[in-house]
Amino acid sequence: MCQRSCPYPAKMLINKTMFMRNSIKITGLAFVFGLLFSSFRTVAQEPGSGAQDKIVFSALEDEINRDMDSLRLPDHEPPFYMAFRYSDAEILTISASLGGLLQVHHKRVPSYSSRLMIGDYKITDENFESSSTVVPAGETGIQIDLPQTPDYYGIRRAVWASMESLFRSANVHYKIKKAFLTKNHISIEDYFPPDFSIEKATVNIVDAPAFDFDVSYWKKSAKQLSAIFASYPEIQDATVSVTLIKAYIYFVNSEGFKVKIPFDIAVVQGSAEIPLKEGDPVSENFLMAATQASGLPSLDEMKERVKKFADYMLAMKDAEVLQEKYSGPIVLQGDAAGKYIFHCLFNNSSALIAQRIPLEDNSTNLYMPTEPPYNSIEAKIGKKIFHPALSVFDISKDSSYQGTPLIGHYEVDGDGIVPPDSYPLIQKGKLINLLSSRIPNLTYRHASGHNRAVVSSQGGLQRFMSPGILKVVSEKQIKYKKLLRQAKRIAKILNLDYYLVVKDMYSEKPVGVYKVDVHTGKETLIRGIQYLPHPVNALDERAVFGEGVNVVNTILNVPVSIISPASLLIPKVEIFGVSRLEKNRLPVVSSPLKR
Amino acid sequence: MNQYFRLFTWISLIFLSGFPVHGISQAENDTLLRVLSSELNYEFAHLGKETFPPYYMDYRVNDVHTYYISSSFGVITDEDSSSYRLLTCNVRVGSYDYDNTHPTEDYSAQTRYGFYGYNFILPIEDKPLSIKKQLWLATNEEYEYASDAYSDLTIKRLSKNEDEDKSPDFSHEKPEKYYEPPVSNYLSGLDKNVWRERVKNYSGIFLNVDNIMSADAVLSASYDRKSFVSTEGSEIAENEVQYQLMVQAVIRADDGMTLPLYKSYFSRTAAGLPSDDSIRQDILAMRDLLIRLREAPVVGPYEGPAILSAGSAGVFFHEIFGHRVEGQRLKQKDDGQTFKNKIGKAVLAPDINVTFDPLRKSIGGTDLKGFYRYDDEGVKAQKVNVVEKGILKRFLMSRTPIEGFLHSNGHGRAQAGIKTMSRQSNLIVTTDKPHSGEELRRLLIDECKKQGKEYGYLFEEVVGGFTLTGRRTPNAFNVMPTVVYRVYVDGRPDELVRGVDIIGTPLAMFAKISAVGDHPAIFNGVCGAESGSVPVSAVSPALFVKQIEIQKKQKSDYVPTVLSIPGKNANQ
Repeated sequence: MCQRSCPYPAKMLINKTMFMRNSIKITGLAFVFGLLFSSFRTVAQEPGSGAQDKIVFSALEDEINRDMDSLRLPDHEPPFYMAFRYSDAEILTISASLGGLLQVHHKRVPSYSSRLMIGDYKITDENFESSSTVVPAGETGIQIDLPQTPDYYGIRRAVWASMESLFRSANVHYKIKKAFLTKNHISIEDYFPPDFSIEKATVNIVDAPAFDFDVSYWKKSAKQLSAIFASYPEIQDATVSVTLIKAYIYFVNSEGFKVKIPFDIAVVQGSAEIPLKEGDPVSENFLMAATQASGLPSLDEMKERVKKFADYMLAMKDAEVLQEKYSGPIVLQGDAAGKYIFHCLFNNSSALIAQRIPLEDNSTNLYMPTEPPYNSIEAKIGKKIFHPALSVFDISKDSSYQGTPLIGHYEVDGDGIVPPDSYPLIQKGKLINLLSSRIPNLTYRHASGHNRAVVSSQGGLQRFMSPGILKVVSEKQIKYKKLLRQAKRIAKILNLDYYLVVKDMYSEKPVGVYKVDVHTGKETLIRGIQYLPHPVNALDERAVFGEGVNVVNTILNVPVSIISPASLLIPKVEIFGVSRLEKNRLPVVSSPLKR
Repeated sequence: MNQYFRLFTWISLIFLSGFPVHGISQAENDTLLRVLSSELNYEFAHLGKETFPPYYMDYRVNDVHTYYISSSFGVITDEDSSSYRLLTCNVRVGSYDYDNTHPTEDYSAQTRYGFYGYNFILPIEDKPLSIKKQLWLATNEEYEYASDAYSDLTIKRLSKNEDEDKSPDFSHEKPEKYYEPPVSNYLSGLDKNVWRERVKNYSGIFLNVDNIMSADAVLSASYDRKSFVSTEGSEIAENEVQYQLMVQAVIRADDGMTLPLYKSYFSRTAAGLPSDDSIRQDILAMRDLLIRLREAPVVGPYEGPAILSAGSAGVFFHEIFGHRVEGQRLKQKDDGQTFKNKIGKAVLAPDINVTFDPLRKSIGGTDLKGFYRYDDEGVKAQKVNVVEKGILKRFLMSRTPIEGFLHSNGHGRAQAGIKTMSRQSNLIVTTDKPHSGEELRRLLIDECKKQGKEYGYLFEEVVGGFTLTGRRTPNAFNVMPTVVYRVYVDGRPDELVRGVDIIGTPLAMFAKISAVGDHPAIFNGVCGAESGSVPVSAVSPALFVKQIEIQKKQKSDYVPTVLSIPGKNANQ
């Protein structure tokens, strides 16, 4: 999990909801535990065997070829591009509370997504938003479920039903888009940038090691971990969940891409809540993740972490509440440093992700832009907007860092694009690159290989633009003690009695926040901070990087690994504490744990 | 059929009287029941010290186990088994006469447990501490809600008009004790390998049909063990095992209309489902009918005589009649209350009887889905003769009384995790003057001639329907037929037609039911309403109706596919 030892229980706390493509925040989680049912069915054959590969690829290729050749109708443009993404996942989810199993669910779940485009690489039916309903697309009304295990005709039928439907809707959309361009006197030559990138087709078959679904072991683990909370009567509600996913994602398109990539993940997470007489309840989460079930800590080690987590909950219950606006230095330590940097770079409106704003048919004064908006992140490429010592790379093809396995590792993205061995994003403070998909924009005509495909705990296929392994280095790092002294000095300049130290983050919420008295150096745990602002300019020349390297594996919609300086000082961050502590009604009857 | 009734009653008496004595001692060793009971008593005692103490509480736990196999066009699309326990906690504050559930105009307050559901998941294992913690959380939340609601009501009561219905809010009932030991393996009679193949094959039958849109088969098996404890002293543990096979196929007509057909088989045991041969024959017939239906002419609005086949009459009665005799509905301030003042009056022809009998397990060898021994409020199920010789006698009652009906008759029902309402069970329509099929047909033709009609209609199959019982909308119903024939008066063969729904208003329709057939058919289905989905049966002979109204069905407009479905003719 962590390269260094974990001195603090919140080391385990990991964000589960973050961002998606174009930095639009979402509430849906890649790892939502919404399963109602429990199951004990044995899943016979694990996904991804050679024989199954043959069935899947033949089905996808044969049907895409047939549809590309034969989907023709009068007054309809033929399809120019088709792609089908199919996932075959074995998923085990278990949850438990106070030593009793709440749910167990173990099943094979197939899922798919499909794409069909009309036109050509220059102009397709996409990148255009129309409110027009003048010409509704005829619908076939046919949707066919995938077979639970690969079946040649079963898969073909799902592909066919999906493509038939997309063929008609894409045609209507394409016609409306072309008519809109004509009306606005935009010729094909003037249309820019192109709608879809031309990429070299690749064949990539990536296999992963076998995955051990030891259902009885994980049932036992979930029960024992959840039973720990029985010794903590103050904690009103606590649940421990286990999610194991072994999946293969197959991707075939009409350009000749043929890809099989694994998506394996093992997660143990939990949540707990202590209601309070005044103010919000103490509500915290923990998470441990690895690419293999065997990569998770031993049961004894997990128990230790859960105990530390429960102790932390109790400490938080009695922690001082921040009831004022704080505007001053913040020291981010260990995992908090890496996660905070990730949030700054990929979870805000200036995320390092190439954007393409689609045309809208209600646009007035339509023109084809020749350069990105001046205030966009794209316009800042080549400029020094970060700390001059800061360099950031994506190295998603690395599988470990100095012996620590990296869960963000992947070989090929969800579009079949292979990411470079090292993709520079920032070099010595200068913004060099953004992550890009196959939707070109003014700066990026090609995909960078970061459109990642993942399988959710419910089995659904999802895609997110995200780095896999973010390597953050600073040529200028100072010792941690010196960094703290700087924080103290800044606090004093700002007439503050204290500065803040954050030890971890869960989503955008800081976890393990201490105020450090500038006079005595005393650390006091505080609560009441729900959100830590993370603007991109937090990493400008004022930031200070501490010595050492921290590696954190986490899930931010997709599995990511962050290798970063071991600490970080942001000289000034504005945080809003709790303005008013509302009175709460606590349960009338005492908890069964307290009787 | 009368012989059958007697036989059944005799068997039932032995069955029902055999368990409780044997069962009660076993109940003492039932961990879940013991934990439910002890936590309920603890909570009740401690909440009793509050300003608004509860006067009644109950816990209902549905321990549900399901297994299903589904297929589409001959391949398995899902196979899964699951187990979960859902808790419904009921806390009443105030008194039997006036409590936190008292009807108000605030609809949102009444529908907290409506279709959106509200429940707590309990551990699937008998771990007392883990179960108690969930019970405690649920009770606390429910008590807060109940005490707040009661407090609000007591204030609002001062400034509102007197209630139309002055009946109490909760009925006094005798506490019940009943115990069945858990079923050790509810799937013991099911050969999964055999059924996997059968389910695949059933949906595969449609693969070669032109213009087919979907073809699905689903075998589901479920075991629901209901444990109920109340502060009045009721303690009930009852099992229900159900197997159901459903086959559905949809074809598209050239005008874009979608035409669905369904087949459904229900039994309490795997062995009780029909043989493979018999099901295959049914599905082959369904396939042929689907192909013919596609070519059938679309018909328009019509008003005139019709026959509802036995298969469709049950659904018809369930929709237009059954929902209007659900007593609790009549207490709602916005309900249309069609029958509220009709007790003792004729509502149907004098030869028609309508009974709801949840204790009836089967008829003529076919299991009934609406069977249960105790309802979801812990009240013993009762056979209720709602209509006797055309006269409305009583309503289906939960523990929510209405004027004139102060006690439950065991029809307080709900889906797991949702609060109860009075709901239907096994609806059984009988007649004192049965008519043969030929006689009904003759009556139809004669009536057509009398009304100057060239043809009447025969509604052979219906898929379901809906009914509006509120005051804010027309008090109307809509029943959706899937197989409809025109019956010509001049002796031409019956003509298959498509594209219509039966519509109308209930009282006008009941008055037009003129004759009833002699052979009942059984519809086993699931009914959805405020308290969720509950299993029901509707048993009725065919009906001859002098005047029925049909309207054009809302038409889909699907386009044909360009290419043929993959795998078509692959094995030929």
